Amino acid sequence: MSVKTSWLALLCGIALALPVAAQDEPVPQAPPPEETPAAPAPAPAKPRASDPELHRWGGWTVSVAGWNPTLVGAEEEVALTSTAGVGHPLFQDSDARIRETLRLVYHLPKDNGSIVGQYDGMYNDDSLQYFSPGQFQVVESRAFPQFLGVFDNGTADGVESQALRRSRDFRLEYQRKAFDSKWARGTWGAGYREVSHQRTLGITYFAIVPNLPPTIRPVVEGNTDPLRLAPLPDGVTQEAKFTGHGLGASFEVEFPVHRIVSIVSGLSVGLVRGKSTNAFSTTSSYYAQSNTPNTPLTFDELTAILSNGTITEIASVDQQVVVAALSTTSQSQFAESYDIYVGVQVLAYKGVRVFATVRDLSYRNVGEYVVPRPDGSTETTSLDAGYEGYTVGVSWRF
Amino acid sequence: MRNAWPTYAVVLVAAVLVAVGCDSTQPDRIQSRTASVSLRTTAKVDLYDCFEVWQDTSNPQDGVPDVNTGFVTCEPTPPPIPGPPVVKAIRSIPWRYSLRISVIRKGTTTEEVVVSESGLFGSSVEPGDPNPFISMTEFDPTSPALPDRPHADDIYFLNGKTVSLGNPTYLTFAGIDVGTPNILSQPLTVAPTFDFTVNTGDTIVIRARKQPFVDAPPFLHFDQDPEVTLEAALAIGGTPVVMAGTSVSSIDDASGFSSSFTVP
Repeated sequence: MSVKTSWLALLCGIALALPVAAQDEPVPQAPPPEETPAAPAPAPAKPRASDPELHRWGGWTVSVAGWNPTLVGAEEEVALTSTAGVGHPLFQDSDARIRETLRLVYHLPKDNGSIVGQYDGMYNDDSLQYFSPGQFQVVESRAFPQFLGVFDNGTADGVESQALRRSRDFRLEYQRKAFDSKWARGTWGAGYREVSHQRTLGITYFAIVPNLPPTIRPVVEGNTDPLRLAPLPDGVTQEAKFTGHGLGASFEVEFPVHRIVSIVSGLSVGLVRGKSTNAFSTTSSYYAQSNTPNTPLTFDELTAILSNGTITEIASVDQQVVVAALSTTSQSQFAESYDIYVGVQVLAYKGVRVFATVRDLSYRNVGEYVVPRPDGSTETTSLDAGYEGYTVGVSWRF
Repeated sequence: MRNAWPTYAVVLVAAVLVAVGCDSTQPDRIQSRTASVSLRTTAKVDLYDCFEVWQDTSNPQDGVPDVNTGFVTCEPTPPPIPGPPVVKAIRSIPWRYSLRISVIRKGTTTEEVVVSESGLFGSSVEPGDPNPFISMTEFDPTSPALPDRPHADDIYFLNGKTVSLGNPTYLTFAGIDVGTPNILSQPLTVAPTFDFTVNTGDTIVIRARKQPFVDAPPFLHFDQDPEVTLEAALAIGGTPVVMAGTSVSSIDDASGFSSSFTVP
């Protein structure tokens, strides 16, 4: 279900509930004027709903929320495909999954602020398959360009990928009330941040049905596997890890619209310094005869041998595997995190709040891919990751 | 009026959670059909005029042949004038071949040898297979009739027809027994095709190679290249399809082909 539809459901619920709440208490009728010696004193106004009083030692708030964030900005291109002559990239995206946010707040005595600890963990492990047997429309765009594809032209008729993207965000802040009025309450915070991001991508390019000349009797011996010379798949593995820590600041605002209903909004920014490690490797293969293993056969030479060669010539053909790899550890780098949310909060019971918000969590420059180029240079790509979705949760203050 | 806000809050949260869990994705439809594989070998072969030999045993002869001697006589078809000295034509011939029919199921990359609807294994070339050339293509059925040849004394030449080297009439005349046409031991007179079940998205792979000349019965004239070619035909649900790769061998000795088709 898309985030857009969920937003609509959330806003519809609010639109239905608010008018009903407005009719919660009937307007008292003013009594007709009477000649009485003394009018009774008006009843005291009802106090606005509030949290439990702080204990002598302070207080706690525990908050648990769940959300199904959509991963944005972290799609991986695994190949290029061609449909009706038009090329377009094939992306490994991600399915939304329920994730949790944990928040623990210790309220200092005598209303001297709060110590807030918050943890967010996002984990996306996704796979992709695209097979078009016999139709070599897949371009091996992520592999190092050497001996790619059974036809040595970098094309495949199938691709399979597995992508892991993991983010961890821990915050420890001191928060204090900035202002408190009839219309709004503001809270500022500052403290420690720790961010880690890991990305692992594995891609396999297949030549499922290359339709090479068949290596079956009478051109092979009777104990030969008919698929002995089936093309080995090409593979790519790419990995990046980042871990950093630094400082962050936050600002939250609450707009009471009713005795127990509030609009809440917040912004949190973090700057962390860390290090990233990354690794890249490609495996590919070529056909060669055993007496010249370092001399790749062209596709035409291969088909000529398999079509008209003798048993001995065909038996001497085999596949040689080639690996290209690179791993680096970067110098320290800065990463940024942004966390924005807006939503509704309802005081369901004394000290218990239920909330629903729309949230956007973004990480910039959390690692990098380093890829070797044929000319000996390297190409570096900075990695970002974003998560957006709606959050539903409950907090309990005691 | 009692405060209903907590109730509304719980209902809203529950509705949101239910909406997250909804999934209206429909599963893919899988359609099973029958795939039919047939193979044919053709060659450029000589044509012969063949006649049954009858005899008029009446005494005196009455001009009516009454006994079929059981012999057949064949002579090269007279060439047209002007024209090449020997009449040739591209005709089917019985020829043995090795064969492997496999399928790659949708969503996988591994081949598995098919099994026919009658339980036959779809390969004759697995490691250790004792007879890779068990399969043989069919004879040439073409035999247009000829007018009777003038008789010689009491010998009459009746039921004439023009046949090729691949026709059983000529092979009987030449005393050559090539065997029974079959596909993976299933006689073609029983079922002319090798049938098996496939599903939408499956890919069929057919590999075959001709038996070498040196191992074949000597009924072709090898002084001139007979241009023997082996080809496969595939039908899905009775409808012929065009395969990827090549489904026809070259004319080179012992050559073969590999072709594939993905069931839509």
